[in-house]
Amino acid sequence: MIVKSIGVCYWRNILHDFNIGPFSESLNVVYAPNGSGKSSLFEALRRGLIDRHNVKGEDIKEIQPWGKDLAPTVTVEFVNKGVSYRITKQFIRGARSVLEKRRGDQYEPFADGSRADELAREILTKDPPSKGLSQPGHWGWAQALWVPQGNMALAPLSDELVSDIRSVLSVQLSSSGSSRVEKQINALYGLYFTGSGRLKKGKDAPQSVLLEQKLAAAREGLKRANEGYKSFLNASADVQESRERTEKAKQELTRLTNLLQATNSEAKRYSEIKADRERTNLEKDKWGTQFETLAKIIRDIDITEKNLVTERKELESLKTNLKNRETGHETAAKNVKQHQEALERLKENQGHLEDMTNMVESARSFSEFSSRLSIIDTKLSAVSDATKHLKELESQRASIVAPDDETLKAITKAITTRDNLKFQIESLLVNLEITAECGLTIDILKGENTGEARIASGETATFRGSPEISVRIPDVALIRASGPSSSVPELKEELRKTEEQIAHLTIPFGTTDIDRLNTLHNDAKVMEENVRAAQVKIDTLLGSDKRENIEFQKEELERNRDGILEQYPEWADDQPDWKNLKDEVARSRKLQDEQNEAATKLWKEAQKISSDLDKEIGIIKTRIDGLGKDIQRDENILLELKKDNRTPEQRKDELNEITMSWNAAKINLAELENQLGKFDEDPEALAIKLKSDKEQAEDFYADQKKQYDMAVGSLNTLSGSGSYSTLAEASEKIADLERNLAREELEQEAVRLLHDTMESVRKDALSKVSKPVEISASKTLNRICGLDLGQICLRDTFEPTEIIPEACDRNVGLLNLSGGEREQLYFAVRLALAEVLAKDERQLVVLDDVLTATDSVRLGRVLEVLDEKAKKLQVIVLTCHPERYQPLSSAKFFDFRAA
Amino acid sequence: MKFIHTADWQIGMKAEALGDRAPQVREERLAAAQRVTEVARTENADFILVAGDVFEDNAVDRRLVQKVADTLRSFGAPIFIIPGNHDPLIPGSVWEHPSWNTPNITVIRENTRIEVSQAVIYPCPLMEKRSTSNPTAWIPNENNSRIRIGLAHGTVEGIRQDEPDYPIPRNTPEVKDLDYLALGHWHSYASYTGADGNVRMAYSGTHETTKFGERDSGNVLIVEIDSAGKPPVIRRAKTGGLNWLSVSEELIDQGDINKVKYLIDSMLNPSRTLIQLAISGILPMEERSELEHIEQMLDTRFLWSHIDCSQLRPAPTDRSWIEDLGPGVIQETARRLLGSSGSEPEVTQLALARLYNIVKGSVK
Ligand SMILES: [Mn+2]
Repeated sequence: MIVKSIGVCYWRNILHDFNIGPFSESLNVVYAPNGSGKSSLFEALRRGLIDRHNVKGEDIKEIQPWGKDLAPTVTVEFVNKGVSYRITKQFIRGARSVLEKRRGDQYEPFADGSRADELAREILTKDPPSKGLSQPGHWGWAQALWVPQGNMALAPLSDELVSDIRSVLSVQLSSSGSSRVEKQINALYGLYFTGSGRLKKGKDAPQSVLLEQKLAAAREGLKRANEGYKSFLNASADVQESRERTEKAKQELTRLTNLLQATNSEAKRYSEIKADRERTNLEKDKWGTQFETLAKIIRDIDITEKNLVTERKELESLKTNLKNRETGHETAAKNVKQHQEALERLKENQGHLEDMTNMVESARSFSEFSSRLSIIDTKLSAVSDATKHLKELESQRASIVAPDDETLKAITKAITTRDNLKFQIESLLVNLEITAECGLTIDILKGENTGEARIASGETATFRGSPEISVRIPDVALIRASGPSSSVPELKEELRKTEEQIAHLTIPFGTTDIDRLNTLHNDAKVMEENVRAAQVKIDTLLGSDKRENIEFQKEELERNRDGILEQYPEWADDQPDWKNLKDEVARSRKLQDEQNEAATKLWKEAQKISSDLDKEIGIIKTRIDGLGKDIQRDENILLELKKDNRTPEQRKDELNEITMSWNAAKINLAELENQLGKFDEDPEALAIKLKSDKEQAEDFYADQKKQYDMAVGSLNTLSGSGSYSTLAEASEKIADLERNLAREELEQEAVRLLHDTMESVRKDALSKVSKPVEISASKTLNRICGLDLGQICLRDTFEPTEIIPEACDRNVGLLNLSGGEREQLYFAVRLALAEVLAKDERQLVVLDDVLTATDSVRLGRVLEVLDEKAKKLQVIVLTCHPERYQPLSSAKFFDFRAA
Repeated sequence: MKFIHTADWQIGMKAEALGDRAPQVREERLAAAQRVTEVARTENADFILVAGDVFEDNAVDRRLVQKVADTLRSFGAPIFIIPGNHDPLIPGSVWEHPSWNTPNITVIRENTRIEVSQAVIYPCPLMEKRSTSNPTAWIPNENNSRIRIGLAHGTVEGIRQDEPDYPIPRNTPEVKDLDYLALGHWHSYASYTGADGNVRMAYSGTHETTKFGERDSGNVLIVEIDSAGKPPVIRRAKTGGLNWLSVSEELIDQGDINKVKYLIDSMLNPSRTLIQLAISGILPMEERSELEHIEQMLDTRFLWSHIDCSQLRPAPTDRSWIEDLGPGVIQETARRLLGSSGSEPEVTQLALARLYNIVKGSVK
């Protein structure tokens, strides 16, 4: 279907008859500024072709011009399947619908009212709006072909449109009969599975789920039955083992009982022998003690008597010794006294020797003082002479006035400057030499000197000046001579200053002659050198000392010397030889020391002899006292030992008797030990141990018996429960459930397979359907955007879902594209769908104010695409930017306002 | 002298595969015991020898023990029972039950000779579940004029075994100078001919079949011996109550399934029959409903049944109904299912069958 023209009246803000057309069958651009109602045109087209004329409600009222009770009318001329039609619809007031068909060049009525609505609509959709105004879902083909204002995106297409597209694409997906089959398969599948392919749960769960649950419970039961059965087997084995253990315990008890009986009688005999041994042992010990006691008394008497004899003998010997020592001691005391007296005598010589030593010291000091005084006197006299010479030289120097180094240098410099200045001035002056041939009076106007000058005839006068000289010879000439124009007065001023400086510097010396000044300077220098030399001589003589100090030393030395002279006046005339005196004193002292030493030695020896003897006497006396006490003690002991008043012979007889009884006891004891040794083990201990063993064996047997009884009890309980039968029933129940489950699962899996196969077939078919559209749309998109965006993926309902970019291994959702690219993508898909729908007949594509997000470069490509597609499509572009579509040279342009 | 030789009653036997029908099958083993005593009474036997494994396990329900004892007591004449490897004489065994204190029943508890009628019996009771020793080893070679009968439970040498299981030498009757050795342990009847050409040793087999494929079971032996040294005369008498049937059918031509259906339909005594039916071959889709009918018959009429269709394939030319579908999702679905070589052909078959049902409007 394509549109020839559209006319409206009383439509929103259009208050007059308005008609636009005839449209080209390919490209059309309708342009107008914003708000001028060009979208109303699109709306009118939709209302005219799709909506019922008698539609009610608020929506249709909105198209009525505001505030006016006028009836909105639309007339659309269109061509469908080669036939031209005209439909006119009036809404709200006087609602009507008329469809006319063209025959020749006349429209003839074809249908009216609802029939007209229906026929017009069928061209676009089989799915009309039930009431109210049509929404895009009811637009039929126009869903894909017509783009409402700025909304390029595709809403999900209606089933009808999808099916139309598919049928154009020649794919038979379902025949009428098989949809029932599909529904039944789905219903069958729904008995078992949820939409997402999982088994249903809860009250809707299929039989297999229930069976699984029962099976789990049954397996639990089998597990318990198995445990019960195992318990029975274990209990049986336990009883068997326990029975054997109990039997063994019983045997052991019997064995121990018999053994104990035999051991008990053995133990009785053993204990009798042991008692005998005990008694004999006591007897043996008694005799042993008696023997020891008596033998000791006899031995002690003998020892004590021998001791007494020895002690008495020693006492006698000591007494003799003491007497000898006492005599020796008296002699030694006398010796000590003699030697002490000799020592005291030697000490008296000591005083004289000290006096001599003092005199030697005084003599030495005296000599030293005298020699030092003589040195000092010599020094002082030399210093005195040098000082006098210095004074003379100094007064000589003082008589000459001469410039020093610095002053001389300054003067020399000033003189040089002065000479330079003079030379410069000289060179700047202009000389005018006049030789008069007759006497002349000359008036000097400019020059060094001005005024009148006279030059006698034949004389020559010279005039100087700078920079010029001008003289007038009255009545003769004015003569002017000039030189360089430098400043002689400045140089002269400088010269004056320099000469002043020279005068000032040379005043003290009475001459300005530089040679003279140099001579004066040199003379003064020689004299100063002499003074310095004299001073150095004095300094050398004095060394580091000062003269006053030397004089003070001299006085002190004289005082000390005079002190010594007071004691020894004779030394004033005759100086003592102190070294000789010293030797003499040393000799005397040596002699004295030798004597002293010898005497001391003798005295000490005598003292030692005396004190040694003293000590020995002390020791001997102590020993004598000790021996006295020992003798007293031994005598007492002997008395005590012999208080039995028996003779030694009597004592010896008694000891013999005791010895014999003792030996007899020993022999008895050995015999008894021998008898005891024949027992392997202590039968009493063994009997005790056996008794304990037997008691233990009794306990053990009782214990085993008890365990056995318990095991039998528990076995009886278990065997009574018939666990094998329970086990059998449980296994059978499981087998039964498993069999039923297998049957259910087979059914279930068959249904799943049937359903899944069908779904997979359907999916494959659908994916084939959308393929050509995908390819065509992708091609267009690539032309507009380049190859980067790659392939477009469509759902089987032809909605784009994502793209497969060229340089990316993952698909990209549409939301990841820019607004412009998304718009271009939908544009491409819409065009691809339009091409499909236009397979048999040219179709109208409306683009209302779209591609606003597309840049000019891409828009250019879009227009190329549009231009090409317009070979099969009628395109009406509504825009407020006609210049953007200017490149569409083949397009027909309509100015909306002019219409 | 005449006696009944029976063994391996396996009372309380577990029948896992039978699921909820197992109790009935178990119950039948008790009834068969009753039939054994009836045969003995009818034959006027002097005594009954039970050669072990009366019970499946020592831990069976004690009510079963009581029932067996009651059944045997009602016989009146002497009955000698040896414990077998399933019910050995161990602490807690079935043989401790008080019901055995019955005058005509002797549970053998040790290796000791017993004189009865003209015979001396040498019983060999088992004391444990497993042993590699010969249970008859103890039997003495005595000099007397009585008929010498052995009663033992074990494996006659020559039967292949991983390890000896109570081995009994093939020539035991000759070696032990026995007139007859009554054996238990193997559930099928088996007799052994001695060097003199006479049968002096036999397994009676179980008195009631225990599983599918068990040969010659469900009998007792009636043994007659005139006097010591005379060859025994052995007859078999049926005591089994249930049939254990294994049937295999192959479908080749169209309509073959109806033959199978007829076979099942015409079977006698289905309520006392356990059946394993394996159907292989090719089944056209439109005949599948017949298969389901067979399943229903098996399920409702028989004591127990199992049908194995894992070797059943749809007819390869059976595509007309698919062609009739016309192009579309369903046709393609059917084609894929038909062409699938999935790991679970049974699932695929069933899925196709379900689709067929839906297409034909016969969906439940
Ligand atoms: Mn056995």
